[in-house]
Amino acid sequence: MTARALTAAALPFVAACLFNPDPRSASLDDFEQRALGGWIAVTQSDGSVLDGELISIEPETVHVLAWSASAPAQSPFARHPHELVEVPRSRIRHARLFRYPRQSYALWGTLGGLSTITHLVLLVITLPAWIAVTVSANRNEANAVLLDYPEHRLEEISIWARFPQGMPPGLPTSAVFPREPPGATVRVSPGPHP
Amino acid sequence: MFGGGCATRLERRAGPGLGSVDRGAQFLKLHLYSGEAYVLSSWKVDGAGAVISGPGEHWGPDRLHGERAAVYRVSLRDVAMFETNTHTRSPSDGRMVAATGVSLAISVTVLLLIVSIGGGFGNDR
Repeated sequence: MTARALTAAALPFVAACLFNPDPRSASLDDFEQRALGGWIAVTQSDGSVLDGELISIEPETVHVLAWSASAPAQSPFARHPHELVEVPRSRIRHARLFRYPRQSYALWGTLGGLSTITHLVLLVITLPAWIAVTVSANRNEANAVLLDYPEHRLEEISIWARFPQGMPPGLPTSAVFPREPPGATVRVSPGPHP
Repeated sequence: MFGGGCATRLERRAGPGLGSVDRGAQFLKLHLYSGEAYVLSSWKVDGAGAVISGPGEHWGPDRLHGERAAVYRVSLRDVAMFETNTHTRSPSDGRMVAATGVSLAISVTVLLLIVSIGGGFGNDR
């Protein structure tokens, strides 16, 4: 019973570790004090998904600093900024912005779940109650950081871009990259497939 | 004990003028037309309204390295957008606090029951 209880109490923590697509290990303070853009996942009209840092939203296009997987020799989970992609607005079917790293009640919930060991037989009620409350609170926090397009206008989303004022005119593409990658280029996303 | 687990939310206000931001925020971020950004921890606008100054950090367009200075002076003509972020407590905190209170109450009740039952056995002997 104890092992089962421990496993169950750890579930909120495990759940909180999932579903965070942003590979940057940026803190809330980084978003407040460093002017990084939020993480955006853009579903294009052909169904392909482009994700990366939101750089700017222009009247006709959206700039995303796309991240790609590292070379196979490196960690399969490591990603790095790869190219600056200019996506025409007309090509965006859906976009989801993760404004900043979501906060989690995982530690609180896990400790609370473990504390139900002291409830003896009442644990059969209080442990599921802890899990339910923690999962619900975590879901609320996960939703609180999201801004979806077209539910929200792109202009509303733009204040979470690295350049909320728009792409600085004349700024070299390489200047956007946290470190200058070889052959950094701007790619314009192709038009919709016929 | 669970204080570190509280969730904080970030409310952002941004606009082309100082009037569009939260003056009570801890930091004021200046987005320049050039792509650079200044994050000032306190600030004042000079009498003529042409320059904003204060201590803080300067970031290049790549946002890789910040440079700190005791005083930065930035011409308002160069500022494309002002931004502030305010930390707010999540409403879910209340539910977690309530769950913790109920859970602790049950733990204490169970503990007291065990002690009283144990004491009863001791008296029987």
